[in-house]
Amino acid sequence: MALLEIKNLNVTYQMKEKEIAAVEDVSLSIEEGKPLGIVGESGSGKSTLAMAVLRMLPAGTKVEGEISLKGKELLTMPEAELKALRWKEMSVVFQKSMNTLSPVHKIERQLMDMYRVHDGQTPAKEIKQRLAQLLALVNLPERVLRSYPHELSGGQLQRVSIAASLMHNPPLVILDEATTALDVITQGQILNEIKELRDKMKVTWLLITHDISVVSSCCEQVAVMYAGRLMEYGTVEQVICHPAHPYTMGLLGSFPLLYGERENLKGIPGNMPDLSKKPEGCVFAPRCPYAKEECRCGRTGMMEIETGHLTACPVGRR
Amino acid sequence: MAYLEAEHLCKKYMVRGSNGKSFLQAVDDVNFSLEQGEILGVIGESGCGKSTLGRMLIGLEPITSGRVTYDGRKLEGLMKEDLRRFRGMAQMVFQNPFDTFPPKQTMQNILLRVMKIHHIGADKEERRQRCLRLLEEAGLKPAEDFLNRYPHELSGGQLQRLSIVRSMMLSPSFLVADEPVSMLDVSVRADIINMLMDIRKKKNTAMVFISHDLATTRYISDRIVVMYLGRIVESGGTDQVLHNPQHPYTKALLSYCGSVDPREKREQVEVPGEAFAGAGERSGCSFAPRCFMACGRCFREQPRMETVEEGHRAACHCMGGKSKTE
Repeated sequence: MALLEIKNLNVTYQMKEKEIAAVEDVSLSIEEGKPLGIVGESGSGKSTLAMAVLRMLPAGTKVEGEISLKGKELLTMPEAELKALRWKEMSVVFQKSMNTLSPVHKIERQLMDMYRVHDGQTPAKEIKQRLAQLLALVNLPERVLRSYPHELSGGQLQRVSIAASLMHNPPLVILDEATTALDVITQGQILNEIKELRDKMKVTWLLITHDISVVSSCCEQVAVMYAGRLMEYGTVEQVICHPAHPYTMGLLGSFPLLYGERENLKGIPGNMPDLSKKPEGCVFAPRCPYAKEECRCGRTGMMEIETGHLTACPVGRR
Repeated sequence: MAYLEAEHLCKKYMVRGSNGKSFLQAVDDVNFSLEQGEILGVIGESGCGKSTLGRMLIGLEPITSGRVTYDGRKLEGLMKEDLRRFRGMAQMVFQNPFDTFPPKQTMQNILLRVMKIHHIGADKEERRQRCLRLLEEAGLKPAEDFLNRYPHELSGGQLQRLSIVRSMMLSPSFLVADEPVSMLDVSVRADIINMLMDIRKKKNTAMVFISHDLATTRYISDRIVVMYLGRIVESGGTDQVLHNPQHPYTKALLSYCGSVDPREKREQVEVPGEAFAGAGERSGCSFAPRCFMACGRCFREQPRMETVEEGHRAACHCMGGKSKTE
């Protein structure tokens, strides 16, 4: 059984005058031990998807479809049951997770409070031991516990957030642009630590990012999203080395390379469509260099071109 | 003589702490020169002083010591003599296109105002026509459409284009681009980079391109300087620095630079700890506490820039395999 299974998920934000289809008909699954990366540009709906899994979308948002974690249906679950699940079965680290720490309390006190919200029984001494252990996992010295957030750097605070997300050994951790705001070297180090955690703690992550290099270095599966729709899905090897969707190709083509021939960078011309207007046909067609007449009218679903490699484009497939 | 020259440029910020005043050395003894039409990439992590350097070059930040000269004339002199003319000579593109423009003005007001201040065009209509032409040239079509819009109605890529159009309106001979693409999506980054290269080709503008991303910088710059805690640690031609890095910090940066290819395995250079950007005096090489090849001398004595090969210089005691025990 898959760890997390998303089936035909639709998320629509209700505004005063319009509805915005932020996620449309997305189906994905994460197997235990096979981290999934979701790549997309801003406005592609990747964070909305994560928020839907966590059931943290603003009230009044229309969510349809099925999301199940270890076979338990999340969308219809009563709030109390969900509360017991959060942090123990799944946790999250945001891009600005460090800003959620209180500036006037020491890290130790805050982490202990967080621990107790989900487990009130454990004696303080045991929690402290556990915290020290967690900090060691993300390469932080123990003195961090006795510091205030302003005494630590951005990278250290983000490591504290990661340690906090792991405190109850959740099998699934959602990392929503968790390393984006950090410096190159710090980002690289934290990604290495995350990779090590996979073996040490048996944690599987859903990693959301706009940076393909992050996904290719620490995920096994990858899903490419554009304008709320899934464009391509498969293993990292399949999607990044042999992309079948023109959007994936464009995205890879616009990524600057450190080595090799220095040609002109190629972007993807045009802009993201207005999601409040339902496009007919493929949502990428207006920007697609291979678009044909058929792309602009009918929409096709995801099609499997080889085992586990799905694409939404019938043209790129040929 | 080079068009732009920076000599022994320093910037100190005063920091008031519990134990009295101290100074934070944001930029420390920076030297470089720039020819007309040349693009210099400035690379470094946050807090290394790259933005401060950029702002000092065009007089947005007072210089503590050292000097900047344009065509042999001192920056202070140029600014004192005629600030407006100087602004027409040196311009800047900022990192965040979303707060570069006043939110309650239409693009027309924003763009025409620049020309009015600088007495370009006889009347409003002429300025408007000029503006339309510039927008078309920048690939913002149909131009009419853009003039009546407000900043919030435009995407990040479009705003950054407009920001560049505005900076180039006065045909400056020098442009500082401070992380112009880091807030943008990957698919539109290329457009902005290509737009800047186009400008250089057409108008022979000299540029300083500030970035933390080595791979992007590689595509635009002719030469690169790498900064660490206020000092230049390595400088040289783009390919010299990226393909034959000499300074251990440059090596570390390169080893952590992401690659899209999952099959590519890069050996990572170990860099423990984090950059110490605090106030106070420093002795020795500022990278020494994190350096994998630091020796005793590195902690005592500040290394000077030494020539590696023609045009390629780096500041490290242990370059070229000099022994650790020295």
